[in-house]
Amino acid sequence: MKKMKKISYILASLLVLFMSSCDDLGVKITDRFAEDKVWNDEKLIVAALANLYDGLELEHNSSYFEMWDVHNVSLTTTCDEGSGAYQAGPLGTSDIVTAYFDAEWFGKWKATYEKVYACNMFIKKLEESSLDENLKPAYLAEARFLRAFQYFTLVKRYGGVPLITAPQEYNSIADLAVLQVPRDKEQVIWQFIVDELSASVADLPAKRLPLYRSRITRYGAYALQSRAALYAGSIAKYGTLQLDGNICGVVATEADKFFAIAATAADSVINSGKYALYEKYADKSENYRNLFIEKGNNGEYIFWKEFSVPDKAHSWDLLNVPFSFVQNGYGCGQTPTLDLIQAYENIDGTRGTLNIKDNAGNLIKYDSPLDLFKDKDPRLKGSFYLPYDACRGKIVEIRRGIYDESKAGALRFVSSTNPKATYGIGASMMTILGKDGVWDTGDVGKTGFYTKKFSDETVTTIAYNQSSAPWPVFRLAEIYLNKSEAAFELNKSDEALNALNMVRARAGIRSLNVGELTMDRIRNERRVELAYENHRHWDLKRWRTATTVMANFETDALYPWYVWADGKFVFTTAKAPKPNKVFLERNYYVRITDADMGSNPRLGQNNPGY
Amino acid sequence: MGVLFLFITSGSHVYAKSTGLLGILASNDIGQNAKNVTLRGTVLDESGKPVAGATVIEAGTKGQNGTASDGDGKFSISLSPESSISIKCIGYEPKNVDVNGKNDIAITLKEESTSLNEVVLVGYGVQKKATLTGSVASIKGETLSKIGQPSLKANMLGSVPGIRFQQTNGEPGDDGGTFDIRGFGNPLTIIDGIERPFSQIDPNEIESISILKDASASVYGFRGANGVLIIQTKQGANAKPKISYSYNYGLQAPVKNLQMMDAYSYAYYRNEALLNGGGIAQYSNEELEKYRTGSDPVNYPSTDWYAETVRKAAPKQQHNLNISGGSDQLKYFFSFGYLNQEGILKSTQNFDRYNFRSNITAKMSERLSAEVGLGGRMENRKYPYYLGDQGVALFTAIKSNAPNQSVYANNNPDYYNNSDNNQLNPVAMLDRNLTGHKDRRDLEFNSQIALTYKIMKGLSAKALVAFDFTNVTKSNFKREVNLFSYNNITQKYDKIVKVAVGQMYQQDTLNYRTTQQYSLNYAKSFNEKHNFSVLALMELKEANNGGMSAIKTYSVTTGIDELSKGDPNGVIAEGNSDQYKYIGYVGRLNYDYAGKYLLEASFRYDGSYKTSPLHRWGFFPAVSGGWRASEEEFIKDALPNLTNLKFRASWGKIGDDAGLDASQFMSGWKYPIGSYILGGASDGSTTITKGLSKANLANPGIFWYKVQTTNLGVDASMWNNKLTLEFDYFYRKTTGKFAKRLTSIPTSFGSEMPFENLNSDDNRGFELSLGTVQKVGEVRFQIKGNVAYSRAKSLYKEQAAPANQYLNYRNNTVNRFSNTTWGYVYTGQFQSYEEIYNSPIQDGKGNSTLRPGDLKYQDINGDGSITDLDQKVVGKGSFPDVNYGLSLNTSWKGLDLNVLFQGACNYTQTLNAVKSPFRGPGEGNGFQVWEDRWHKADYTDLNSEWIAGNFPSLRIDGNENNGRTSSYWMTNAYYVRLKSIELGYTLPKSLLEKTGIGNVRVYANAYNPLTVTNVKYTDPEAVEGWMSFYYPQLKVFSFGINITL
Repeated sequence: MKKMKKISYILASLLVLFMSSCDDLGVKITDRFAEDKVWNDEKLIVAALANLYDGLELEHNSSYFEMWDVHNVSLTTTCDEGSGAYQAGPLGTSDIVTAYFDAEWFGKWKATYEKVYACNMFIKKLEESSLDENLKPAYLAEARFLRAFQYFTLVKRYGGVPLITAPQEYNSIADLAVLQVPRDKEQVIWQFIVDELSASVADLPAKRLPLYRSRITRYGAYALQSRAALYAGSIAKYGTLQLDGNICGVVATEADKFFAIAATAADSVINSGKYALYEKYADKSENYRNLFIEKGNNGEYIFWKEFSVPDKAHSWDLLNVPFSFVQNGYGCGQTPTLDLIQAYENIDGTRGTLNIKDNAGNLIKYDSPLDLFKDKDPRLKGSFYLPYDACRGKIVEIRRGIYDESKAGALRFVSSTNPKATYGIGASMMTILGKDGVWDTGDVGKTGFYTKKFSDETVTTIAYNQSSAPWPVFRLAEIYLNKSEAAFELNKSDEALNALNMVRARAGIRSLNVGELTMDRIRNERRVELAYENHRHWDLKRWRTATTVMANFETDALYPWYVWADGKFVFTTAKAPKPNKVFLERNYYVRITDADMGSNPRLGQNNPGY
Repeated sequence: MGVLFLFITSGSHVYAKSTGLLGILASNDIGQNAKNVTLRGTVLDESGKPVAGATVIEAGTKGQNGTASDGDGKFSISLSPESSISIKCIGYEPKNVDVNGKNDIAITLKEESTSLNEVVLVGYGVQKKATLTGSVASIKGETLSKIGQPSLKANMLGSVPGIRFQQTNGEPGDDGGTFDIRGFGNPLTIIDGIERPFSQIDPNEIESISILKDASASVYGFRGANGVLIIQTKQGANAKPKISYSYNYGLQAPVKNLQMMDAYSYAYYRNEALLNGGGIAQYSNEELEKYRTGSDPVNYPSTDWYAETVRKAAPKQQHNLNISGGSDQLKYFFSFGYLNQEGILKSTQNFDRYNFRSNITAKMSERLSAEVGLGGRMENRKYPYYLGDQGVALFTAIKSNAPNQSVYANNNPDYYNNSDNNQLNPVAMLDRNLTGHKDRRDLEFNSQIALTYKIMKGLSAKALVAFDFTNVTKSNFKREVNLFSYNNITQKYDKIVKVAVGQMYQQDTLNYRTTQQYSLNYAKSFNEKHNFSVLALMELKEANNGGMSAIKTYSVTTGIDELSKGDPNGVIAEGNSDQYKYIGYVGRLNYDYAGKYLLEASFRYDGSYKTSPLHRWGFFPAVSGGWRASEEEFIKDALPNLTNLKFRASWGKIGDDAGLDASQFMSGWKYPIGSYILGGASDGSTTITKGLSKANLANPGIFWYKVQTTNLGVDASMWNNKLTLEFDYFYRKTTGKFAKRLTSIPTSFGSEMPFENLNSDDNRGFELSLGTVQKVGEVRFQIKGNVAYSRAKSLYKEQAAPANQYLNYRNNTVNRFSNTTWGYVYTGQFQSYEEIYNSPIQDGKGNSTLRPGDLKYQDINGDGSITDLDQKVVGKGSFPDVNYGLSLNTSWKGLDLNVLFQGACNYTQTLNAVKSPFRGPGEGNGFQVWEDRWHKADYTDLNSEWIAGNFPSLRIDGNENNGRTSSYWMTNAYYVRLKSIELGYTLPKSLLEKTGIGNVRVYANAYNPLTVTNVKYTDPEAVEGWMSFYYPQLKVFSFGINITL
């Protein structure tokens, strides 16, 4: 009897456990918000916006870090501005065309369309939401700006692309045909960008509170319009229509229209009174340099990307610090070519070729290496570490060797391949090479200069993700230069000159008079003022001059020599051990990858030459 | 009896071998009879060890008069002097002995080698091997402890077919590397009936392991699709306490040492490489001379970074103490183990492991019994900060640091030299006090309680509840590091900041799991021919995972490694949690007719939390059958030497949800995805806003993928098990594997796609084992060999239609075996410039970059240039198709010798690390093997003749042409390893008699002492990709002692 009782206890408890465990299998989902939680909550709407901003390809200074590891690639090192220290050189065999311009890493097709989808979805969800109707227009305008920026990213790479302005739907593979959108003409895309921005400016605020200072404003939208229209105008004027249906290129007769839009949009920014060229330091070099380091709103930046160590930082200092200042590898990532150094004019407005020899062809001796540059545009010293420049309380010691006049001919130039090799004995003994170069192997800079622009000497940990200098997307100086170039294209020389001289005056070099104004000078001004800001690559493309400039571009270097007898310095120039840069006609447009082409049979042809 | 035994123990707990059976029998002692004598005896095995738990029954009493041997093998029984006794013990051949009036008797039992009565663990129960219909392999615990490696995975390798493991490195405490059954992916591991992590369990705790390789795993439902490892820990016995202690001390050394250039070779070959590339020499002849002679060790040092950082040998030791015993009512097993393994680096690198286990079974009444199992372990890993990544950072640094750099600046040990612009000085890297540490503690706690109630004859109910947790704590402390460079001119040590700010990362994760199992077992025989057994079981598994981590920066020079001692700013804190939940209902029917015709049918109705509420439940059936031909009279007559012949077949269907998130059936918005700074305070400070992003499209139809496995097998043995054979063929097809439509949807669509059930593949292979047990005179030996083959093929892959035939050929993987390597076909080295100029263009530059000795490739499409289009399949994958093992166990008197060979073939080993002569970028060192290269007789003389060598000529950054993936760098590899060899000696009883010690065995063991392979320069198991940039595999020489009281 007792046992029977036990049995029933056990059976009963088993039954209870069976039953109790038949509850549902649902678990708490922690990786997402349900759809209905989001679109009435302004905080979450701003979070969605943050994601859209984060998805912008702002091409900031170390955004190509992944490729950096392999080829030292950035937009700077792939044009005539700079050269990487460890960029495969003649000692290696890396082919620069395949490594850079034809390479798939540079394409942003899929990644950008993901952001386009995100913008389209944002717009759709916000329009459908029950959020206060008064709050909607500003958010919608902001999302349209962001979407226009995404199309700018696409069109400047690929020319014509599929124009998708609402989130596509997919329920099953039967929907596939609808998703296969063909490419639109390049011209249509440029027009779309310009029109979207025109439609957005009214609803965008003219000014933002500090908490939202790096979100787009009305004038940021104008700034993009000015740049996009300038690009479209140049392509219309200098490019050709290509592919079936003129998918690439802009009809030539549209050039003036786009230049006019560029000029007008630039005027809207300039005349807004909200921005001023940065002039906080009396020393022009210091002033120019600090422009790129100051955090917060510096008054000149119109739209910029901010950083914060360590969670949202970049690695500019790690990648670019001069050789002997390296702590954790890298460094010397982008060193300016001698070509760029000499593109900086002298203060008096004359050409900036360095005076290393006198008229008789003899080397000129300088007391200090810096004396060679003392008449140069102050922006040069603001942008680059020159030989024997100060850096972090030390000297950037760039020396190719010793110039010993007691010897004959070529033997006077005593160099070495070993950084430890010394010259002389006793108290006068010194290393032949400077601690920061220049020798031909390894990671040391090869051109005789290092990068100062955006380099923040207050950063003490020179490591990955330790830098936070903001990145200018649009700043007033560019808008002046856009205005100058557009006006000049429209034959409005006076307007072009005024805008150009604003930039020159702030830089500290002589203003030009109308007789001196040429397209070359405007373009050169753009080259030096915006150096290392990732404009040059795109400018050379839209002007269709990249094939000429980089027909077989040699990276030249400046070699300082210590004069053994008197401690002065002489200089020579030479070709740096770097591969020549070759830009082919086809590289004006980026190749669409096989994966992208294969995913949509209606894309038609790949870009010309591929 | 066998069936009854089976039913009592089917559940998760198995009373292995003798215990359960004995429990019942031993209590059957009947009262003494006056005419009886008392017989005392000892039961020994052939090596003279006592056999505990052997049943001793007086003949003719139908089991009514019987007893069992105790821990010393001793028994006493009162019986009629004319009768005889029968002695039985599982694992031994039964024996009958006539009493003949003796009072004292010594009985030697012969071990059954592949005993058909052997009991094998299967899903939720045990089965006799004889009537088993699935493909199940089993390994005994003692086999595992003989290999003696810290990781159980390593100990399992080679002894049975179908277990595959590639040991990719030898870092202490690392048990990573590919481990699977038949190439199916991650197997489910069950310890004492419950899903648990297994790799660090002490082999001394293990009674046996079963590996379910076919549909026999179907009863486990989800997670069982890749096969199941079932581990059973040891239990107590009805015997007086048996105390065993074992100790092992070993010395470990790398299997292969790195051979880098010394400073002179380095400088010389760099010069040569520079000149070969059209550059200028870096070192003058005077400098070379100084490196060669070592005349100026301060300024022209030569450092062997490998020797500076790697020890010749590192110790390892292991202790285990266990006690088992019990009575009829209560049986116990306690075990405590300790392992300490030092790293082979000159640093504090340590792996400590403490294991304990306690298994207690209690029989409260004839009907009710309980089992309590507790197991736990603590693993402590102490690494210097730059280790713990399988050695990649350190071994990369060893190669990146040039040998002409010194360890210490100006050879002053107070100042570590800044020997490399990029990497840290390897010696400094290992200095825990300088660079910090990466420590980790793992706690694993397992507990379970089970109640079994015998409801009536043949029917029992069991409830099992288990609670486990895993806790992992990581403490990574990166210290601020300054290195020095000595300035000869100023005679000062210049400080170079390598790590300017320290950082502490601490992570704590907790994982709680509960499992409940409720089951009913029923067994019945009709007419002694029809044998049925039925299992009904419900299982509920739940887990809660959670973790927190925090990072703080440390700007104080000598930070204290506690989170609270870091900087107030720069704090990152993270925390996450998730859950899982499974419910399954299992039913199984076993039927056999006279042990001749065998049938098993089972199902599991299983629910997973991962799929949408509409598709939560799946039904997974399995069926298997067998025919024991050897039981047929006509076969017995025809083939009298045939001991056993069984044909087996099984088929099963199972689902797997591995790799699926629990949220694929819904969309929504993910947070946080990315972040952006939208602004900040007016002082210029910033505020980070985290991003919100549309999640993947929803796929409400998502369900697990389906796996169907078919297995055909034969088991045979002849001449009373002197020859045994097992053969299995399997075919497995997987459909509905998870994939996202990535390439068939236009990339301009832009939305994240959900997982869909899209792809399928299959897998086939075979396994063969052959074994023999022989006794020649006093020498007993057992040889077992096995070979296994497995290969997977893709059947369907979601992809865009290829744009052209070539792309189809190149990229369409459908209907192809998956383990292949593409590359160029190497046809020889260029012998002269003339040959270079007359050959197809290989470098895209008119062959101008090529030199004699460079690698020449086949122009497959004959277009005059070597491009991507000239690639084809040139090798197998990096994991072997064929794995084999051979074990040999032999004993002679007190001596025993155990040898295990293990090997593999049919795979491709690619020598990636050797592809470039120097470790680039920068000034990295080169490999000594490159000395055998094409070079000019005099490197300074452009016109001197070329001298042939194995490698192409040196180029400072390597050479793109030579570095291409080609058959030159690949080996169709094989290897055979002497995995373990152990020689033991058991002390004679006569020596120990007075000490009270039961048994003493001493042994010497060598692990991995010998490898035969065609893979050059690197270990044959090194992972393709980083080759020698990792912690090398180890060989171990050890000595040990086992003592049983």
